[in-house]
Amino acid sequence: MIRALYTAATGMNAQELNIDVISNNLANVNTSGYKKSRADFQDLMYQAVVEPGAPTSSSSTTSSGIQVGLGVKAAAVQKVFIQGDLQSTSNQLDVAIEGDGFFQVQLPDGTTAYSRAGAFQMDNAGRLTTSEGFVIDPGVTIPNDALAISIGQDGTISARQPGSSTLSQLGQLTAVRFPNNAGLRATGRNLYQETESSGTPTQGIFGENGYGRLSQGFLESSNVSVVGEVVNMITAQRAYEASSKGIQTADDMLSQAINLKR
Amino acid sequence: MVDFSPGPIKNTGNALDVALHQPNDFFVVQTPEGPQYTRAGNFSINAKGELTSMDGMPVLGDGGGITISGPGALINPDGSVNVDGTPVGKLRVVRFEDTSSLMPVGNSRFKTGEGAAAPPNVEAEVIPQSLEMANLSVVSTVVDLMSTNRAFDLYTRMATSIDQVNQSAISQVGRRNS
Repeated sequence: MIRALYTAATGMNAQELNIDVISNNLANVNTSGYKKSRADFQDLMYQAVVEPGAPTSSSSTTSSGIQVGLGVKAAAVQKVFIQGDLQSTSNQLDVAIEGDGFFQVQLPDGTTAYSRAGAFQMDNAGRLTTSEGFVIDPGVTIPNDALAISIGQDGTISARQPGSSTLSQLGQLTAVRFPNNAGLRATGRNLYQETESSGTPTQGIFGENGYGRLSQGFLESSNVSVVGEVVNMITAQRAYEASSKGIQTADDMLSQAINLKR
Repeated sequence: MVDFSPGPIKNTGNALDVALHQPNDFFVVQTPEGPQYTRAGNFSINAKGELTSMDGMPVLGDGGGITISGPGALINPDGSVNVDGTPVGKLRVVRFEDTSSLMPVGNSRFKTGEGAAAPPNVEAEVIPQSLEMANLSVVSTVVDLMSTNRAFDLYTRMATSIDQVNQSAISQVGRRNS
């Protein structure tokens, strides 16, 4: 009886976490390059009241014993890296990755982060940065007088300058892939960092050997499906409610037991 | 008793998620307490590049663990794992004809009793990029909850009525009618 109270409470806790994750997904429905998160749960340990196979007489044993589960715990909250829709922006510094891969971003503390948000900008020195102002690695400097900037599907950046009829190449964006994208640490600001579980990054060229290709003038919208998240929210709320009924029922039964003595 | 009927399959789009097709099939996970069996196919990768369960226990393939060294991992419907087109192993799937010998140990895993025979390997049939959801039906669980509650109610009422009978017996038997 007391067990049920705590078991149901773990269920309510788990669903609270689930709602936290779903709300974050819904809040980021318009964040370009955002990848939705998913909470994974596991059952907690079992209390064996009677071990399976325990003897019930000198010649017979129980077939399945009595094992009571003690609830649920969150095993992981991981990112789901399915492709988001491409949205046309006609901005020449917007780039979307179609397929697997990340841009490399140099953080102010010297470490490297990874991003799929291709809403690039230029800083005062003409360097290509994220919308937050972090420099893209390898650095590409765009001249002040550039008339047109072209980013090819392999990440080549070229610009046309006044007095010239041809594009001159300025640099190339490096593509990065991980053995396990879902293991990346999300640090906010549309950035991810390498972890033990993501594996070490491999560098390559966009559009080759499984690396996604780039589309200039497009942004990858978030891969959150509002309908899907609302359905998840409904099921999470109902599961929360069901767990609370478990607590109520256990409480009812306890109160009945106590009221036996009048 | 654990009900091993299959749960609904949900597509997740995640390359390292797999669901088992056959109801009595299980993946094999190497734990410090020996091999354990699970139907939770939400796998991840540890620091050594090994395919693991969500809590970091290595998932076994046909020849020991499966190491995913580079990007582009893909699990095929026959359980083979490719990394950028190169096969790196095949998920080991075992079948329990009699699931009553399986004991839940938590972490969505099961173990067999001491000295039980190892289950036979079978050809893996998996559904890539999908997960099997919990197999419980909320309706029947709530009905079970209600009926258990009512049964408990009935026993407490029986206890109180017997108590009343006893009380009457004590207070009325032997009393002279006036």
